[in-house]
Amino acid sequence: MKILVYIDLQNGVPTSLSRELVNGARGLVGSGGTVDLALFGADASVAGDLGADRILHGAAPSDYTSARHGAWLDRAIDESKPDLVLLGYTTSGLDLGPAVAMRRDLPLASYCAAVRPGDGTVEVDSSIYGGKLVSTVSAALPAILLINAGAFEEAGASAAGSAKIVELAAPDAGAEASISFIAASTPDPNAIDITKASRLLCVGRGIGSEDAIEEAREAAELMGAELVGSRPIVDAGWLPKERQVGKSGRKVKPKLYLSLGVSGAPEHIEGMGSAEFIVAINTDANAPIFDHAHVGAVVDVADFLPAFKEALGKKAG
Amino acid sequence: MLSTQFAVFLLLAATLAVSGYRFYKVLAPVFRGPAVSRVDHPEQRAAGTVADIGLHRRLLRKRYSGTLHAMLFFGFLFLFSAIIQAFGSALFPGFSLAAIGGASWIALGQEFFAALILIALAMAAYQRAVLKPARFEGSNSRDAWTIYVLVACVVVTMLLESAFHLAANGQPSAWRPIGSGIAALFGKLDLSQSAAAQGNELFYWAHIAAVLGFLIYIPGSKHRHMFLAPFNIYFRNLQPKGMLSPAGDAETGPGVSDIDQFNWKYKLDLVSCTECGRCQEACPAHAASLPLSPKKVIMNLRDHMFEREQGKCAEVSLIGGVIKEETLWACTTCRACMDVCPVHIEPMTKIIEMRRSLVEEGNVEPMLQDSLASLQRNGNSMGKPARQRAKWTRDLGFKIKDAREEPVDILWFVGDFASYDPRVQRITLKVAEVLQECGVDFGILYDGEQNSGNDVRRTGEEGVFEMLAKQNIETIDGCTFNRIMTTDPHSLNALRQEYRLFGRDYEVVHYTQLLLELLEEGKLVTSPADGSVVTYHDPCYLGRYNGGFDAPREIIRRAGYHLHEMGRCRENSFCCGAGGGRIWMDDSASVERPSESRIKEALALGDVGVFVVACPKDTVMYTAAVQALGVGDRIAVKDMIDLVRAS
Repeated sequence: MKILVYIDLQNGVPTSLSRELVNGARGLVGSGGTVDLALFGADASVAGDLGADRILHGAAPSDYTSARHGAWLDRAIDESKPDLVLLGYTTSGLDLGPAVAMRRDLPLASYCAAVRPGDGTVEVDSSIYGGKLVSTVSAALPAILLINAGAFEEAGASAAGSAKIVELAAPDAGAEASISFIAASTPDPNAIDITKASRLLCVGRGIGSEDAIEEAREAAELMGAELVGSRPIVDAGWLPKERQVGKSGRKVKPKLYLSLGVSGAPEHIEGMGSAEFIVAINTDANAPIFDHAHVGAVVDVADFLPAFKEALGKKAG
Repeated sequence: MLSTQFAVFLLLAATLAVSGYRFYKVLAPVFRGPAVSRVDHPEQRAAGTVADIGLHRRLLRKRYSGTLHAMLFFGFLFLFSAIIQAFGSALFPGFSLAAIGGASWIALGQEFFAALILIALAMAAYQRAVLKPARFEGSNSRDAWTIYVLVACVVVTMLLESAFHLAANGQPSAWRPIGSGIAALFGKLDLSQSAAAQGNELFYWAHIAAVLGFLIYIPGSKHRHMFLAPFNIYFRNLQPKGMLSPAGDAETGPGVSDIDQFNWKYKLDLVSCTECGRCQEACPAHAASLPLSPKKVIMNLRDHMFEREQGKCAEVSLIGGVIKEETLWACTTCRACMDVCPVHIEPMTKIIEMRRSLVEEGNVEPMLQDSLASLQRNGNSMGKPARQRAKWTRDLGFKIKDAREEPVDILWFVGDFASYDPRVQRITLKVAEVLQECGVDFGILYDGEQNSGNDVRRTGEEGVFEMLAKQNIETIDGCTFNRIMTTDPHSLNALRQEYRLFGRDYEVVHYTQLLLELLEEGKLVTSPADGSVVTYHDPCYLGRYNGGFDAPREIIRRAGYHLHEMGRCRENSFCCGAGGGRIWMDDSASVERPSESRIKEALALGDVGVFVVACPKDTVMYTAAVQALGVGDRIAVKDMIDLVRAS
């Protein structure tokens, strides 16, 4: 049995899913079989420790396009002549797998959670309907499979350099011309997802002035929380929109929610009412936020913040 | 050589043929449009048309533009006599209006109105070049200037023709003061009689040419409204304002996704638009800098329709291409655009038709999607369990009758915000207490009530509207009562107007109406009158839609407050921004929320400390606006019920 594994790279190194696939392939081929890797773009040595027999390396430009990697993958399949081609069930796997299967008239199974090779066939379990149902299908070999993360164990590092590196001949220039690479953009590293934070410090209208935002930010840092705001704060431009909590912002459920000068309009409550522990600070004892807070204090934020920071500082110190 | 008679005949015939053909091209898609019946109640239609045109009712709401339009309009009506004279005398030798005063009072009238038109043109030019009202933004200004020039040509050539005529005859006429004045000027310039006769001839032809040029130009210009507006007004929708038309048929599905699906009247709307921009100026979404101008919706639809006629842009989709989705979702359905339009064009109903097709495709604004899902599941938009609808009554010292179980005089339809929103519950409780203390026999539907569906229908979601309406109707029909009362204008509109779709004609009153009745009966007194100054915001669905302008004002007056009206009041009220499902959508794209603009308007009155509302959504919108602006120390939002107490 011979298996070709397509290696997904992230920041120039194989992803953990690719490692899983190689390890899984090793188990499937057994001692007599071979595992080839298809690696395009980076230096072949980045996959040296995955435990493959051969690395079919394409000296492609590192920028991914489906046409470019599809053409190189064709080359690798020609070279390897595998029984199975494994790709991760990832963006690039979904991009390449069906296209290559179509072009070479091979069967394709996706969402594979388990793979059982037989005599001239392969049987796989596919998780369908978002994992609610498992569908068992079989296909004649050779076949292409898109494998879910977690279907196999991730490989530990093996001795580097044991794999033989085979340089593939470049595909026709025309084969990769249909799609051209323009630019890659990465998410803003400073962008935050406040729904993932376990502690939030929320400021509302009652904070008074924009200067107080800085003070609140320092307090948030001291308590290890993200700084968020209610609608008026975001409207005023004091905080960016992605830090808005409420109906028209984000719905959050942190372990700790400290609200400063937030009155607690229903639209705000809709966004944070299910937080695990809510602390409210407001000058108005009748503010609706107190109906939802677990603990609260009627005090001016301007008085509270310096004292709070001092207390946090002492604790840290 | 051609005789004058034949030449004029030929020119006139050719002009009418060209102009007629051009009108035919404009109107062809209108005639082809799907059917809608607009010929019922001919007397009412005719009377309204005459009143709207003859009295310039809507035009004169803008005094400057309305006045100059009236001057142009009536001037032109009268100058028609000059045109008849010019063409009549050429076509029928011996024709003259002299027998009925053509040389006396008609002549004087022509001169008077010619002067009036020239003054109006100067006013129009001043408005367009100097005043530059924002409502003209996006209108075709070259077209407007072209028309000013053509009108000026028609009038000036007429005046000069008559001046040369008088000069040629050497006899000034007291009936033609302007012509005689110019003729006297010619005399000073030693103009010979034969030269004057030539001048007369020249300006006669110039006048004919100006009139014919005008006729040829008109069909391709927004100024074709002078011919189409009377028809557009005559064929206006006579249904109650708060009742939307049924949503399509089984064949085409709900809504409009292609320009050809608009019925002929909607298309007549498109070609009747004068681009005056009154709708744009009145639109709260436009004021908030959202990507909606009712005027541009109409203009873009019109241009798209014409391009389609020419076989262009077949592949451009109506929604997403011609009209953006954000444009459609921006509408608050406040109806201001339709109420201000001098020619009764309906931008809003077209927006709702297009929303219907968006919803049908499952293409819904994301936040709205959540609310619609909740409406379907819980019968309310707040994501709260249906059984908690009457939870607010627990804070009362008495039990409100369950109208499903015993007969009541007043069936109180409470509504979503009044039932669930903590900011409004206080008001709802007070209404209940006041009714109880006044001895009103009333009951509510408890968890049998659902959202009325008024704004659901306006989001274009016909299916959920129908579901809600039918469930409410089933519950209401199982009750015994005399009248329905609600504090919520949106529910009022649905129950009173929209449920007609299902054959129901309930008598529904707003609580302000009931409170006024109780005041008149002496069962209710007003809170201590301190003469302080308040202002009042007309809710769209109470005022503009259902004519409820006076009861709230009468209560304020009786309560001893001084009502300082905002500039935008009554029919001209400015929407808070919540209607038409907007309260369920993301409004962060607004540069200035309509509600905040409104609070600023109230503060600008200078002496107003209380902002009185009569709608639960207004309580929500305006308390949030006051808070957002940080002006809680200067102005308080109070509900109507805060002004009264039981005697």
